[in-house]
Amino acid sequence: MMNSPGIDTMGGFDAFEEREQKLEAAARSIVALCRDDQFGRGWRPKGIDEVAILLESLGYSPEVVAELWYPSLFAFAADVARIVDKYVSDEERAAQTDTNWFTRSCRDYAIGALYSGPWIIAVVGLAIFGATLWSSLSTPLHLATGIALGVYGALVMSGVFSQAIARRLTFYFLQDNAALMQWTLERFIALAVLTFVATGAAGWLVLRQFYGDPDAWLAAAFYVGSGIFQTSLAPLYTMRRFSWIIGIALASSLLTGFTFVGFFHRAIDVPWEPATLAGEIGIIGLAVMLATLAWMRNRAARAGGSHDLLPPATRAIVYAALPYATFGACYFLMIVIDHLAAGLVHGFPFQYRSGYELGCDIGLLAIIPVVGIINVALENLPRRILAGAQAGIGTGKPFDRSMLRFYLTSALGVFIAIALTIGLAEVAGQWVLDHTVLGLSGAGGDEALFVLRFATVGYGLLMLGLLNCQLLFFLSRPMPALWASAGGAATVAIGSMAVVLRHGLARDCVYALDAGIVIFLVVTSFAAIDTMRRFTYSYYAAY
Amino acid sequence: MKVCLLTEGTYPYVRGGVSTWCHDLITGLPEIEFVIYALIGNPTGHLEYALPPNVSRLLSVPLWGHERLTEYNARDLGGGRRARSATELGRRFIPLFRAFLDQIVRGIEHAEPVVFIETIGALYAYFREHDYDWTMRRNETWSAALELFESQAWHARFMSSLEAIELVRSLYRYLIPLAIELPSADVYHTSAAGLTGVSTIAAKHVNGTPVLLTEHGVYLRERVLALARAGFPFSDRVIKKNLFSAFARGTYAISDVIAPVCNYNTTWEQYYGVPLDRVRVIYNGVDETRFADLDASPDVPTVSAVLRIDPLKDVPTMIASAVTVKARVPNVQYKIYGPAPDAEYLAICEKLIVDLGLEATVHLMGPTKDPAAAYSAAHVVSLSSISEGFPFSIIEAMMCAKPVVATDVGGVREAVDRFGTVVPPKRPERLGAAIADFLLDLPHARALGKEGRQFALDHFTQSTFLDTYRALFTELAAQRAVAAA
Repeated sequence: MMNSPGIDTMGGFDAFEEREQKLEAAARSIVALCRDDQFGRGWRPKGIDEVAILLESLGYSPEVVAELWYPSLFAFAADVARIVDKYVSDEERAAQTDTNWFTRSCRDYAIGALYSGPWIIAVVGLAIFGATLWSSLSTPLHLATGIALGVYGALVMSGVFSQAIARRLTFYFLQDNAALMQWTLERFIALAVLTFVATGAAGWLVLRQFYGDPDAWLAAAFYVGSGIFQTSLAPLYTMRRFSWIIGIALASSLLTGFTFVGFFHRAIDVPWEPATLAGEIGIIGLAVMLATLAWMRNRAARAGGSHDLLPPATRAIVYAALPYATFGACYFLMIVIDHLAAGLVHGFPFQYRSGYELGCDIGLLAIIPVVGIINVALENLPRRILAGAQAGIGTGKPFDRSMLRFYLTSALGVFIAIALTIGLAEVAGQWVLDHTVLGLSGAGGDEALFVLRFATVGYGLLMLGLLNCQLLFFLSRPMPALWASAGGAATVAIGSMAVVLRHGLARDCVYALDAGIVIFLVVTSFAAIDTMRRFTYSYYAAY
Repeated sequence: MKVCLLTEGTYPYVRGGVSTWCHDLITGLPEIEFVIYALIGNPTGHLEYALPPNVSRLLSVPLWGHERLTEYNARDLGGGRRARSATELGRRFIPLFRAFLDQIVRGIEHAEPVVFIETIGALYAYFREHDYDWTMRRNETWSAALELFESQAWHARFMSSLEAIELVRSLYRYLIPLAIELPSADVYHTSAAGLTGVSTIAAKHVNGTPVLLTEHGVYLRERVLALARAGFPFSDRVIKKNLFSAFARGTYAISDVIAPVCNYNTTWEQYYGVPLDRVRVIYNGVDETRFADLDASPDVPTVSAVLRIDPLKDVPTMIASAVTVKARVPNVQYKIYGPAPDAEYLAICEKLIVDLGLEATVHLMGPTKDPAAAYSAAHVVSLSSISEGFPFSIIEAMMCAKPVVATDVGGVREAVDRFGTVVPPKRPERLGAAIADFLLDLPHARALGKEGRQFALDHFTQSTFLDTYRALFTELAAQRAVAAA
């Protein structure tokens, strides 16, 4: 409500003009303040009270307002609000053209490929110790058996902790909550190390009944050592410390390589030689864990410290992480059960099956480049959400449709990459086995080629399922992934069991692997499509 | 007598004026049992105060930083597993949720506090039986919100999907107190008309417990200011403003007594519809023995400030004022004490000091546990806030017999009265000129400081403050006893 000033007392119309100019200036100040929201769009204050609040914060005290002949701030704000309405429109600014998509995609692919770096190094490392690839062909069977059992167990158990750590740490990482990241890391890492040591000891007691020492010792050493090492990398992945991961992987390879060549290779006889090196890997893993903890503690201290932190209820955290941890176990069980079964076709206990292993290992290595493609899709997801979600709620469901389209395109991209890899494996597999040091002769070579052919298909489809799972995890929907992996693992187990009980060919276990992976893929695909087609709700309910 | 004191983002986790007030109140009334119901942003808060022995329980409810309520408040959910019934969700919850949303989408001009209060009460009753996390994350809940937004022409046109998602997620956070079992108490005392309103409205509606509201700053005003400055998109900001407005108006409506810390607040309270017959101004009080006149005078002209390094305190204005002062008093020293919870804002202040070439003049001293010493070591005490309630730092400085130069916000003018200078906010030249005037006439500053101390002794002592609250609690508890009888 505007007060009419007396013309005589204010010195004519100039006073009106000056007052109008001051009103205009106030409105302009509000407009300047409201220029951008966090999405780069203009906004305007709603209501006289909001204008009054902004004016007051800009220095329009009762004294200043009175100088403009207003009885109160609200009366002044009412007039300013009218002017502000003329100024501001909610026009959307044109989205900037993204010309860097190619560079960004290459970077995302490279990062995705990095995920597999330590795994590749682990496989090559195991090859050095005689448990994978060509070296397993000439290594004494009892040693390869011990190493393989240890590595299988470590994969499953580190799957449990890696998934649990990744889930909880990601939650706090995205909030930049260093104190609770520290809290989580301390507990999960302590639990992981204790579990590896305890189950390693228990495993040793069981295995020595069947294999005796030192083979049981070797299995336990590889279980604990490689398990701790793999688990130690999980926090680094979550916190996107890629350079650390590469550094650690390279340093570990160099260290173990030098130790092997320079000392153990000559000084210690098998099987203590690989067991000692497995211990060395475990110590490196432990050192990585401690360094990560120290780094995190330092970061938390800089952010204000973690003393007097309100800790969450451990029970609730474990309960929340359980589906992810169980998924991790089932996922790795799904891809090792067939290996175990292949080693059981000729009777109990398990004996390492080098032809089968060789086929699987080459298949897995061949499919690894696909992981990079998955990472490109996952890294692109938040950007697509931000871009797609700008559509208004009143314009149908363009956001949901765009996200479903994004999923289908990503899946198609991954599928094409898989198809190319499978084709390449088909063409190159025979040649590789025939013409390189990987070559096996006779029946062993046939088995490796057969397994390679089918395992590559299975692992390829597994990657597609992995994309589904990552999307489901991003949207906090672990249960479909869990059921899919459990169903997949059960299928592989049942199929493999049938092969073993019928005394079939070891290579037939790869059918069970493929069948389980297909189940895994189908269930996760249905869940992913269902989630992406109503993405708006899924994203709302995710956090 | 048991009082449930509700705080939001303050006591006992954050230092500041409201927290000091809470701590003084509790320690000063040892005969009263207190339950602290603290709403906190995230669970990394440090316990900044040792809880006095008359605090029987600290109920901390983090609104952010967790995925499920059971992570922090499993014991406060009433025990046992709460029901997850899709039928009940559709039959009871969805109509209530729609009614709630309808109120906040309508806005302050059209909302009906009575309907809002009844809805909050009914929602609290619902969540005593049903799982909060499950309910709020259901598709039906999301769809109900979206349908309501779509039914409003403005939001249907301008609200994006992302805004809608963020908004309903925020509602999930803001309404968490609905799931927390209310502690039993004779009086509910809330220190703000904000999110604590959820619990106070429920307590009043369900149990008939008397409610006392103390307004330090005007909560709604400060939230709207924060929303505006945070750059939230339009629809999000409008609805959040309406939400805070609804909480504030609901709290005003159910409060038996509204006790602003200064007369200034009543202007805004009246604007938001508070009847004056329920308003009783109770000024903050400080311990006159702790904040004494030490007759101390530093060797160089010194300006002190004790505040939180925070946008509401507008520290850049204080820093910039030093340019004006330095032109007239070249050897002036500014000592700004206080914690800096916002590292980004601190960096802005530090950069400004460098940019203005004031490294040798303005010093950010960090937090102090002895504000009396900080005041005593100055000739003038200053405050440059853009929003205040009734700041302790002003009356503490006055008790220390220091003249105050402060911005004319909140109840500052009432406190400073004629024993200092008030200037409009965001006017560094005027702030600096007023400070320089005092520094160039120290005998006058000294005399004014002594008169200011006497004024503070007459109006702002801790004993007066405590006696008033003691009487008020007794009065409200008696009302409850009568109602129960």
